[in-house]
Amino acid sequence: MAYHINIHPLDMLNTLIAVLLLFFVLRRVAFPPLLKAIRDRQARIEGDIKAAEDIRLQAEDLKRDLDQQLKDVRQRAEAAMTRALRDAEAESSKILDRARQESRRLVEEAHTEIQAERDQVLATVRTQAVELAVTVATKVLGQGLTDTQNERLLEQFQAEAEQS
Amino acid sequence: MTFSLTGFDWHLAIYVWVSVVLTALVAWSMTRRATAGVPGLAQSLIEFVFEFIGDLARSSLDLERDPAFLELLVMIFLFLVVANFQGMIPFLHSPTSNLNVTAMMAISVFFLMWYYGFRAHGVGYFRHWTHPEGPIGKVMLPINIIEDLSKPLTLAFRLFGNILVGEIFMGIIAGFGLYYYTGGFVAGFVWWGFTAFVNIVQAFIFMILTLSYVAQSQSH
Repeated sequence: MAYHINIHPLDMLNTLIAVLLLFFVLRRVAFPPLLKAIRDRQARIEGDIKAAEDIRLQAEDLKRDLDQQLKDVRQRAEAAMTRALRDAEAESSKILDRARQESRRLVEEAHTEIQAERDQVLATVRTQAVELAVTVATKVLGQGLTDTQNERLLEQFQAEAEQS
Repeated sequence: MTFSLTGFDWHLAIYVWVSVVLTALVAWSMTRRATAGVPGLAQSLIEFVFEFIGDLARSSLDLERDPAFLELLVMIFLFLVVANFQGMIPFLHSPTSNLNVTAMMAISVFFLMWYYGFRAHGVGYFRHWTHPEGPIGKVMLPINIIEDLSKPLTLAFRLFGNILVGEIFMGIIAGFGLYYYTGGFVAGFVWWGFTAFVNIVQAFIFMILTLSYVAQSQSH
């Protein structure tokens, strides 16, 4: 092929026919499988994206439900705790009341016992004091007392001791 | 430069048809096993070409309305790449190193531009010749017409000149005994690499100018 700048309409026509035929062949044979594959892939990718979006929405719904459930559980737990605390406080008050009553009763019983012991001790002391006084008086007077004198002396001494 | 109605270059015709058959075979071999799953290397390459050109075209044209236009652009690019590279095969020539081929393609682009312009604006498409509005538009009329008519000329001569020069240099290097089918590799290999780069760039420029002219014709 010589390098000349010659314009030949037949050569140009040949080129036109060849290129048009090439376009026709590529459009009918070569490009359709590729374009179909690209369309299918795009459709699949769009489907996958949509499925992923659906899953994301479902997950969001699920998370919302779980959050709500968690919130309910927390509220129930807080209510149960409050109730338990209130019950415990009431129980503690009862126990304290019972303990106070018991301690009061014990103190009263102790007082009663102490009083009885005291009375008994006092009676013993009085008796021993009278007997001692009679013994002393007998020894001072040098003679014994009659039973009548002794009883009178005892009663008098007792009366004085009670008054003091 | 001569013009002849009778001359028919059979060699050129054969080279043109070889390019057409090679382009069809290359495209078919790359797409016949196209899968919507994981694409192979060949499918990835042709998909890249489609997506790259498609992205460029979508920025200036409504491809939903003209889906065939993307295929036309891809066809132009593939055909020119194959045709340009054909000149790098020993004993073959590139059909695009002949002005008849590049001129016919450029004239086709010119008519395509007019077709889209008419389709978008009707006869009003020619109003762009009188831009800008006002009296200066009348002055600009011949300049605008010349600008329009120069588009196919520049398209044709740019491609023709670049590919022809590449082939001539390859011939010269081959004549020195440095080209790969006659001896030494280095000079031939370096020029081969540069020519390969120019071949792809020129195919891309022709395709992108086609897109640009058609997009301009619709926006006038």
